[in-house]
Amino acid sequence: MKFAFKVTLSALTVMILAVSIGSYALITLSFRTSLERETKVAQEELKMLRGSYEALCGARGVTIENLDASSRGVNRAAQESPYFRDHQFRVTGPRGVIYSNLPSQSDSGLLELTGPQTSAYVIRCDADTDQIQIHCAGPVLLPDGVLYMETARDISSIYAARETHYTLYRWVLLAVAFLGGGLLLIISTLLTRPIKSLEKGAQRIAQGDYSSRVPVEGSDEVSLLAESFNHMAETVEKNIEALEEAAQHQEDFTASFVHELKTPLTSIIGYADILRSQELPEELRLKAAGYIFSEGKRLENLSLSLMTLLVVGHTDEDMAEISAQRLCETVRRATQPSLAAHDLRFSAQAEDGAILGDMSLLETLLINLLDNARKASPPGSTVTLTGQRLPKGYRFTVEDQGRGIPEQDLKFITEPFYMVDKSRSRAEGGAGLGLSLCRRIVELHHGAMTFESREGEGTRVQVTLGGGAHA
Amino acid sequence: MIRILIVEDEKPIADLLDMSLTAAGYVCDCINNGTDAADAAASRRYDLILLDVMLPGIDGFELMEYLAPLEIPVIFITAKNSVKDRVKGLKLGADDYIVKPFEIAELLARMETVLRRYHKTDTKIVLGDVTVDTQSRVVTRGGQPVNLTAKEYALLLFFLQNKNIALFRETIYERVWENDYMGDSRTVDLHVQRLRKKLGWEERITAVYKVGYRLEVNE
Repeated sequence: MKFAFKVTLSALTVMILAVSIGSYALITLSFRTSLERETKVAQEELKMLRGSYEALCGARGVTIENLDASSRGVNRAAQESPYFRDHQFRVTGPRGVIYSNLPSQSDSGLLELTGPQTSAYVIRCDADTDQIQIHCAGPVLLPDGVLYMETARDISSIYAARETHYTLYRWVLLAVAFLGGGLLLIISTLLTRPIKSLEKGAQRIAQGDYSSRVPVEGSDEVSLLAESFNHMAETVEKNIEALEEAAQHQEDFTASFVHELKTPLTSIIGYADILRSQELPEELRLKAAGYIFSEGKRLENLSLSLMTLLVVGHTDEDMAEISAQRLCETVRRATQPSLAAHDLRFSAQAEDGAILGDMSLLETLLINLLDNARKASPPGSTVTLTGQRLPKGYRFTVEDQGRGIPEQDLKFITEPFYMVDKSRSRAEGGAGLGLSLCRRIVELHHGAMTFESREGEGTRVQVTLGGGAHA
Repeated sequence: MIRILIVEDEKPIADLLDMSLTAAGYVCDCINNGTDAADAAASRRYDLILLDVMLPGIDGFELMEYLAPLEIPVIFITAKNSVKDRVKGLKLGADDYIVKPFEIAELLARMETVLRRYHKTDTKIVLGDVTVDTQSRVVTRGGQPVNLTAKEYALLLFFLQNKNIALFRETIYERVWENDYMGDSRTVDLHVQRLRKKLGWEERITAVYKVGYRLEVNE
């Protein structure tokens, strides 16, 4: 069932209940008042009649003793008097009814409740006339006894009025139910419309349209909910985007990895197959064997780089305060021969200082950067490694005068398997993992690595690390 | 003469293809990037293009869109093994899709299938007085049909695909019997003897010391 229907139905129930209780109370109250008034009138009437009758009896000297004889006279007088004629009553003596002009002679046993000092009344439905009557009885005092007088007042109209009110009330209730119900339905539909749009928005998002938002109107709870909903949708969208990006990253990595793995494998298998199935001329055999060797080396390089990349960060790093100068010296000794072999001038200088880090990882980092500088530099140019103490840290700068990195490639160079110049990297035996490893190491040290490069002029890499206290 | 264009940026693989296909009797040109490949395909009549997908510059898929109107059969050679990539390659109009690492024998077989589809191979191979119809699998010698068993026929085809190449017994056994070599070379020797006798090729199929056999064709 729709929410609007529920609201309508519950409001309608409350409304009908309120109208019912109110009307019933009103009708009942009005009925009671009328009934009380009629009762009072009936009692007053009886009292006056009794008084008049007593006076009549007194004037005629009626006693219980001479009742049989005198009653006829009294009756005649009563019949003749316009006052008594206008009222309907019955008088009963010890030996039965003396006078009666009541339309019905039914007896409701009221006389048994009545004594010389007490009067009584009862409301009854008269069987003969089908009227609802107030039947009153009271004593008429004679010198030597008591007569009893009864009156009957027709109050059917009060009951009829109550019935009329009830009927009216039913019609009013019906009208209220229909008109009010319709109105309530319209109002509740209008009020629940934002919820409806919220639901549709949620559905759209569930179906994958993460950029979908719901309109926010006004400032009530529903619009607050809509706002929160939009906020949630935004967060979900961001998360999804991040996940998709990560998945894409993973996919790219896998694709590159597969390519890097399968290419040398194809060559190795292919050349080995040729070698073992045919007798080749010396020149071709050497060529094939050469390729098998170089491609095998390439596979070895790939697996080593990949292993390092995967292992770094998964083993416990030995973080300690290390001397920047010692690190610089170690790196200088390790790289000097290969740089010299490529006919490059190399200078390594470091200011006094301490770095918080893992010695062997930082060595790998700097050696990798210097190796890249070597690959990029033409013979005769200069490669420098400088260490500089900062107020809160330490910075190494590796600079070369090599070929530089094109601007559009700069932001990708730390991606795994990314190679600016594929054929040249291949020739150098690279798999495109060196800078990924460097980035990984810098991340582990909570440091920063920035590249500045100008094509044809050279590249400067700055690595900023924590530490910096005097060694 | 069937001319093949090899588009592959990895020099070792390009050389490998060149070496193997030349040995199999094809004429090959190697090109290492997409842009030059497009020019080459447009300027010269090629019978088949072997196309790598990951290329610098224009990649293989993009190049395929350019090559499609030229109506040259194309076989993709790639490390991309996902179904999505295969479907993409084939939908672009490639005739086949070979995933690295592949074996040369498989590549040659697939190339032949594609070339046959385009009616670029001769269905009749003539060598001396022997004619082989690869479509009906009928071998005649001097006009007279020669009865060959299935293995003998496969052996004959293998020799014809590797003219003037000294083939190891192990390789012959592996390719023809499609089993790993178990060390029993007599099966190969026996079949070579029968083939020599049936075709009168005692002189053509020569034994190579310590290696195996070679089909000698002097053209």
